[in-house]
Amino acid sequence: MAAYSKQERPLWQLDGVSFAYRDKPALKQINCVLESGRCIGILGPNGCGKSTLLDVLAGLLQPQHGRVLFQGKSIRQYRRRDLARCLALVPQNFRIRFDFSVREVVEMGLHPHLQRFALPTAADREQINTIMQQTDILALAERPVTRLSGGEQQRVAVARALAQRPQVLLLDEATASLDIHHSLAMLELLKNRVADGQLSVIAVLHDLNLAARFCDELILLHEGGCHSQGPTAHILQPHVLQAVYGVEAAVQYNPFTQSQQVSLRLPASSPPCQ
Amino acid sequence: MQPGQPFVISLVLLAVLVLLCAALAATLGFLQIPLQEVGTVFSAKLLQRPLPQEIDATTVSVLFNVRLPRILAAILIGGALALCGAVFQAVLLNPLADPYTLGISTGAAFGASLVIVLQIFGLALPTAVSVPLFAFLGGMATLAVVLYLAADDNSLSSTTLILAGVIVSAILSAAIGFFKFLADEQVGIIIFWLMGSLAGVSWGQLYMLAPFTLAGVLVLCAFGRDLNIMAAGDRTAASLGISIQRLRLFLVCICSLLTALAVSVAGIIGFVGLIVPHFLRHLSGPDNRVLLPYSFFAGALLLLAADTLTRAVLPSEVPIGVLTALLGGPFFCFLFKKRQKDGGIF
Repeated sequence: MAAYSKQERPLWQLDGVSFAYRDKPALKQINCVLESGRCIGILGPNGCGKSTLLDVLAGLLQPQHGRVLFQGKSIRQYRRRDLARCLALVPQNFRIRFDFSVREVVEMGLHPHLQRFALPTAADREQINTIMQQTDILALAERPVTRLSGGEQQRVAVARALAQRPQVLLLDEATASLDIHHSLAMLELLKNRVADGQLSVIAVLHDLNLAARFCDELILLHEGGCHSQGPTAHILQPHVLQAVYGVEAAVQYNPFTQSQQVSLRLPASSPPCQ
Repeated sequence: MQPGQPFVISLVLLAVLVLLCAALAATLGFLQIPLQEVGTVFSAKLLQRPLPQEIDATTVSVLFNVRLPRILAAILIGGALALCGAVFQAVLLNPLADPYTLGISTGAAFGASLVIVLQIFGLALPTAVSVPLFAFLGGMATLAVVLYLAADDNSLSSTTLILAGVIVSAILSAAIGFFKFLADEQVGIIIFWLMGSLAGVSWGQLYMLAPFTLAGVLVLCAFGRDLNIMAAGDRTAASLGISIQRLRLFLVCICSLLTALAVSVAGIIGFVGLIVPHFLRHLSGPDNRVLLPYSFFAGALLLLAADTLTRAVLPSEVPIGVLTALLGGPFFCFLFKKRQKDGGIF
C-alpha cells in the first residue's frame, strides 16, 4: 500500500459505513474501495440502499458510523462547492419547476465554477453547445424544459451534470426513462469519456444487461450491505443473482453486444406474484 | 432573458421611470403643484440651497413632509413586497407563494390589532410606536412558530413550510376575528389597518424602513443564481454545492423581516407580491438573476401608481390594500385561466 502514488489513490474508500434514516437502517457496514477511471455499476433489488450509497458518496448524506474518504481525505473536510467542482450527480426523476429553457438548465452546471455575479464566458458557452450536441438536445435548446418528455428531461439532466466538468459522474438510474436508442447512446458517450481518461462513472442501474455492457466493475447491494464487488464478469454469475434477486439466471457471452448478457426467470418453486 | 447589457439598460430605464413617476405623483393631490416647482423644491432641499422667495411655505411643507415620505414608502414597500414574493416563489417552489403564504403578514396584523384592542381596554400604549413594533414582533414570532412546526422535517421542504404557514395563519385569523368582536364599536380602527394604507407615513417610519429594506433588497438580489438552481430540486441543488437548508432558512428570514417591516408601516397590502413576479415571469422568463431586480422596480411602480390613484385621483381615499386586491385579483384570475389554456404548469 505504501507504493501508492498520488494518481493511484482510490477515488473513494468506505470503512464500515452505516446510514439510517431516523431508525430505518439503509446501509449496513459497507466496506469498499472505488478506483478512478472506470465505470462502476451499483446493482441490487429495490430498497437495498443504492440511492443512499450514491448520496453518501456525493457527500449529500453523512453516515452515522464509519468513514468516507474521497481522494484520501475525509469527505466531511471538503467544502460543498469544492466537491461540486469534481462530483456531479444525475438524480432519478429530474424535474424542474418554472419554465427555464433547456440551455438555462444546462448552464446551471457551471454554478460551482462561477463567481457570484459572473456570467458564462464564450468558452463556457462553446462547451455547453458541445455537450448539448453530444446529448442530442441542441435542437431543444430554447424550449422550456417543463414542456419536454421525461426522456428528454433526463438527457437535459445528464447534460447539466456534464456541464459541471466533473471528474466523477454519479448516475441514479439515469437511463430509466430513456428509450433504447438514447440509453445506448448516452452510455456510449459516457463510456468513451471514461476510456479517454476524462471521467469516472458510478452508476446505479436496474437493467442487468446494460450494466453488463457498460460497467467495468459492479457492486451488488443486498439489504443495505455490500454483497459482492468485483469485475463485471465475476459478479454476473447465476448463483450470485440467485442469492440477491431470488431469480434463476443464465449468463452467456453474447458476440453481438460483445459482453455478457443475462437471461432471467422466476424459479419454478416461486409463487406467482400475488 | 439573461443578465447582460440589455438587462442593465432596461434596469436603468426602469429606475428612471420610477423617478419620473415619483415626480409626477408629487405634483398630484388636493393641492396641484406644477412639475417645475416640485423640481425646484427638491433640488434646493437636496443641494441644501435656500428656497426661492416665490414658493409658498405650504407647498414646501406638503411636498416635503406629506407627499415625499408617502411616495418613498410606496416605492420601498411595493418593491420589497414584490421582491419578497419572487423570492418566496422560488424558495418554496410554488408560483402561488407570496409574503402571505407563510402567515408572516397575518402575524403582523395580529400584533397590530392586539395593540389596538389593548388600547380600547384602557392600556395606555403609544400608538405611533407600539403598532409598528407589535406588528413587526407578531410577524417574526409567526415565522418562529412556522419554522418550529416545520423543524422536524429535516430538509425543511416547501410543502411542510407552506402547510405550517397555512395552519398558523388560520389560527391567527380567528384570533383577529375575536379582537374585532372585542373591539365592538371601535372595530373600524382595526379594519382600516387590516386593509392597509400609506396615509400618514412619517419621516420617522421611513428612517426605520429605508435602510433595512434597501439592504435586504441588495442581499436578496445576490442570490438569483442559487434560487434558479433550487428549482431543479434539492438533490441537484445540493450536488451543485448549495447548502439548501441553510439558504432556505436565510432567505425566508430576510423576506419575513422585510414583509414584517412593510406591514408594520402600511398594514396589509395584498397581491403585489403575487402578481408582479408572476406577470414578469411571462415577460422575461423565470431567471431570478433578472426577475428579482425587475420585481423590485415593477412592484415599486405598481404601488406608487395605486397609491397616487387612491390619494389624488379617486374622489375619496380607498384603502390601498383593497385597491390592489380589487385590481390585482381579476387580473390574476385572467392569468390563471390563460395559463391553464396554454397548457403550462403554473
